[in-house]
Amino acid sequence: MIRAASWSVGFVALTLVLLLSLGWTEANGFISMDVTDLWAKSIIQIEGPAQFKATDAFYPPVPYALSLLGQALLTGTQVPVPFVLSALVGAGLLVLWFLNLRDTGRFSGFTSAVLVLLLALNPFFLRALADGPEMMFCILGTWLFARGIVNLRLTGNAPDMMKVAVGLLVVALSDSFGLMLCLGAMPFMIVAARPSMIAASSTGYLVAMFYPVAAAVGSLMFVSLIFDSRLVPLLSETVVPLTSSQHMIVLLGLCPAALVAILRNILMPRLFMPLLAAVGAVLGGYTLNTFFHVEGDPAMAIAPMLGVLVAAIRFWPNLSLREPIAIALLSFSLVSSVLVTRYVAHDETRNWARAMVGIENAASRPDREVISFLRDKSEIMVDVEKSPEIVIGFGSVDQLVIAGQPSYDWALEGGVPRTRYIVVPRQAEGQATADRILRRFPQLKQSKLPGYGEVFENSQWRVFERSNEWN
Amino acid sequence: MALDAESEAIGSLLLDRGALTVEQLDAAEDLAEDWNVSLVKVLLSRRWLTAHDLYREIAFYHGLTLVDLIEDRADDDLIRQYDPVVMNQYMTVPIGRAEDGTLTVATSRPGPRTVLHIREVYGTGVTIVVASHFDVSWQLQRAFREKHSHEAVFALAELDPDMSAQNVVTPPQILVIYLLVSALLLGLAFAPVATLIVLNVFLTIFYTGNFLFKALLVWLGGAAQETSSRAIAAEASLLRDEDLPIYTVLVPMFREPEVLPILAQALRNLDYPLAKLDIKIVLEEGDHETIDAARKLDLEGVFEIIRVPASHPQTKPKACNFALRYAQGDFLVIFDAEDKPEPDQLKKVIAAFNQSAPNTACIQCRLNYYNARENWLTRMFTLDYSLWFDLMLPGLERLGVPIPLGGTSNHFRMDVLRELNAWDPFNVTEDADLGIRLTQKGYRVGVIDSTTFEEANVSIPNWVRQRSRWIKGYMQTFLVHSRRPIHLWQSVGTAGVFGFIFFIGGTVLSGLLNPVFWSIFAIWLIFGTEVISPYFPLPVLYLSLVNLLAGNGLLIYLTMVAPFRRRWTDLAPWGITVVGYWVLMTVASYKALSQLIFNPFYWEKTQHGLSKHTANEVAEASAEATEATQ
Repeated sequence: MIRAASWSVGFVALTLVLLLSLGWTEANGFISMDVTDLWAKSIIQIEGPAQFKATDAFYPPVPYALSLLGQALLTGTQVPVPFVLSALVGAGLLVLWFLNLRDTGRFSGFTSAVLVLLLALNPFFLRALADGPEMMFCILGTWLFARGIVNLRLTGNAPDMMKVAVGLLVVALSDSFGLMLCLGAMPFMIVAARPSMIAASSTGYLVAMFYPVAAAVGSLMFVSLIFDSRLVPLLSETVVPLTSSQHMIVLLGLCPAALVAILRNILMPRLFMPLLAAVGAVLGGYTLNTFFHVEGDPAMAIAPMLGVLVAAIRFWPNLSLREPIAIALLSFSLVSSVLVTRYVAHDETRNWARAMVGIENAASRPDREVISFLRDKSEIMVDVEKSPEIVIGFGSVDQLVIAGQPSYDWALEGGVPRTRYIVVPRQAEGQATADRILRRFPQLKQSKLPGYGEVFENSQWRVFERSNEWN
Repeated sequence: MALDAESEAIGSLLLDRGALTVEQLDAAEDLAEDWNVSLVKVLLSRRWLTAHDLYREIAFYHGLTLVDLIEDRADDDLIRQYDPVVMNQYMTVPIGRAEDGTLTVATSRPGPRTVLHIREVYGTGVTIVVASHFDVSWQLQRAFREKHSHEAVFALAELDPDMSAQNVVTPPQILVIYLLVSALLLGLAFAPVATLIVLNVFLTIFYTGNFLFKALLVWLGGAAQETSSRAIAAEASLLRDEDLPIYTVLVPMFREPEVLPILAQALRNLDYPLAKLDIKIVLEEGDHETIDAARKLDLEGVFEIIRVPASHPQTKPKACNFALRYAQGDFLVIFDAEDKPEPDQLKKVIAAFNQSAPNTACIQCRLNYYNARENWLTRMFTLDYSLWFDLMLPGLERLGVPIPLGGTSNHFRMDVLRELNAWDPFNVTEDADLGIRLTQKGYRVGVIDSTTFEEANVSIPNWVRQRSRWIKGYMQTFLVHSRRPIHLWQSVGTAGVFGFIFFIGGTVLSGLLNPVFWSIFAIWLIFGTEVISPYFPLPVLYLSLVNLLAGNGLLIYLTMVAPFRRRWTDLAPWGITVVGYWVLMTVASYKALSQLIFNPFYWEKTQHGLSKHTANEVAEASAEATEATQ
């Protein structure tokens, strides 16, 4: 009882510490796009009008469902619910890693704690934490997959097979990038398999391994069909072209440590082969991502390697110097990851790195300005699905007029807008229009919508106020 | 263990009289020493000389007369004056009384111990003669035909009526069913939508629980046995033949003479001293075809045919109950005629009993099929059995939930089996019922990693008949053990009750309810949401969707996981087609329900020997038997 209570206190404390790191970057103006989207969706679904019907996708469903639950429990909170989820998953992950290293890997308690601390301080972990629960679940799923695949090779029993399936399921249902990881894992599953399992039929083995993912995605498509919603609106994120050397820099953060960790068992094929497969799965996912751009930030595409790294170290043979070498390896990885995150050619990771060292994120300034301008105003019409920044800026939809409310729907379905304010994103010339208000009222682009005059603009946003009072 | 003096003397006699060759005698003596049994027992387990010749020599050795009790029948009234259990134990039977009052007692085991026993039971004025053990047993069967037949049918119903399925439904159960149906009808009459929603909620929650429970069983069952299996295998390999107990093997058969050679050879192949096996081939006395086939096989003396008198119900448990009266072993196992148990199974069971808690009364071994890849049905049946025996039963054992025993390869401690009045002849899955009854009576059922391979049904009609019997038996079992819910809860605990409801009740109910939900799904597909939405409030709709997609997806996945333990990965993709198998289960469920109402004790016979693999198995077994004789 006391033991459980102390673990609970430790878990809560760890969650708070992780939340603190997220609060620090938020205070410096950094909230990732994934967190922004997820939190905005949760606020709208829970606090918005009952008639609101999302046209956006609900994929990936696990963080989405948990976010809705969190928002329902923490209604009105100013703490982003995805941050809470991310911190909870992150803390849970660290506790599980600690227990796994200490109890199963037979590392001493002190070394396990140091190893977990080094992992927690690794910029890839902290960046993944800030990226939201999707990526944290993705790391969790990859870790489950990696240990499952090793245990499956060792024992060949049903629970380990189910662990592999659960791992793949978690990554596939928690992050769009998880689908890349699943696809990346496919060829390596044969490498990992016990020879006796593929002797009868390698196809049967693969079908059984990937059935859960296929069934889950198929089920989601079915649900999407019957609820007439979209499953995957835009699978790929903004493409940031990277050169080979830039990819190499990203990979230098975690891959060398992971490779060293698995090479330690090179003389034991029953451990080495499945761990090689786990590394291969993440690298395969990363490679596929360079073509499909499901995860725009390459640093995040390699972050699941953390899970493989832990699984590989846990299977090190219990020989002398094992513990100092493990600490040295993760220390090296920490240093290399710090260096790498400074040079990753992606704005979001760069902005996060700056926010971590206390430099304010200039990219979020326009959002803050527009929110500051609108803070004391109400009846603000906005396409919340295309402008989630406005929703999270307010932390609620009380002051907003959104889809599902009569005045919004009236305007969008052919009527004239009657709200006091209209907020739209500022668009560059020739840019495709995603915002539905702008599509319905293209005159806003030229500030020529009758009855409305522009009262605010910056590099990202424009605000119009109703000028006539005829109604 | 050194050979006893009597065995040595009988061996020399047999050699001198040319009944055995030197090599045969040497081999027999070695086996007798290794197995710690008499030379006679070893010779009965070999086909070097006939039973008649052997008993003639035994009679000669003891200077006694050999009698043929088939030709010269004993006095049944005289036999009935004595205790059949004792007579069976000592293999003695009084066959007649002379005018001077001298009693003639036949025995198949002449010797000092038997003489003392005869003097103690029958007095001193006795003439002892020798008869084969077949004759002695047959005289007992004939004399106690009515008594044992009655006991085989009614012992449980008379001594423990609450545990018998003789009454399909008890009056309180009828009252509960009546009230439930009345409530449903009233609800449908006055608040149809609300009633259907409540019903829907109940069934949806039941389905969800069923799915989750099965997943939990697979998870626990998959990991449960690895360590204990190794320990059991290790101890089994260290067991010495001389320490092994007598083991009774019951082989109930009915009109399936063609598969008998498979079992005979499989039993010969067991890594267990054949002389310590007490094999009873249990046949209906009217089944002349199989009786003749068994005789023609010229089986070793350890094989004995038990003829079960005709009576109702004509079920396998009744036949087993009858044969149990003549069993000699400390342990007992049931095998079907086409079974091929793994050679070390009996030793593993002994090791498992040694390592288990003292209240362990039964060990269930795994069942699977040797013709798994014959057609779609055999593949699905194999996946079904792999899931059931390899994963779910170990899961039940781990959770402490009552285990419904499988049809064969359940090994019992003889004392407990007799104490519980053995099988319920009115229950058509008497094994499943006995598993639950054992737990209710404070005993434990263990599951071990040893497989008996059987013939999977290759024909859908035959499969439906077999499955309908199983489901009807599950219905009977559920009804019997739910008669006293508080007693059930007190005896098996909360987890046991939930497990019983989901595993026994769930198996039955899901088969019956599936078409209802499939129909709703079809209506929704054809007519759209509007038709069903009044009965599916949003939370119920979501839960139903989860059941439809995640629940069924999970069950399909569990089916795919099932063959991995045996590395039969080629069967895994067939798991996707398990929906077709569920349709067959539903057909069988309704057939079972209909039979439960109109013909509850009818035993749907499964036709064996239809598989082309079985023909090969028979040929192989016959060839092996011939080779061994030569």
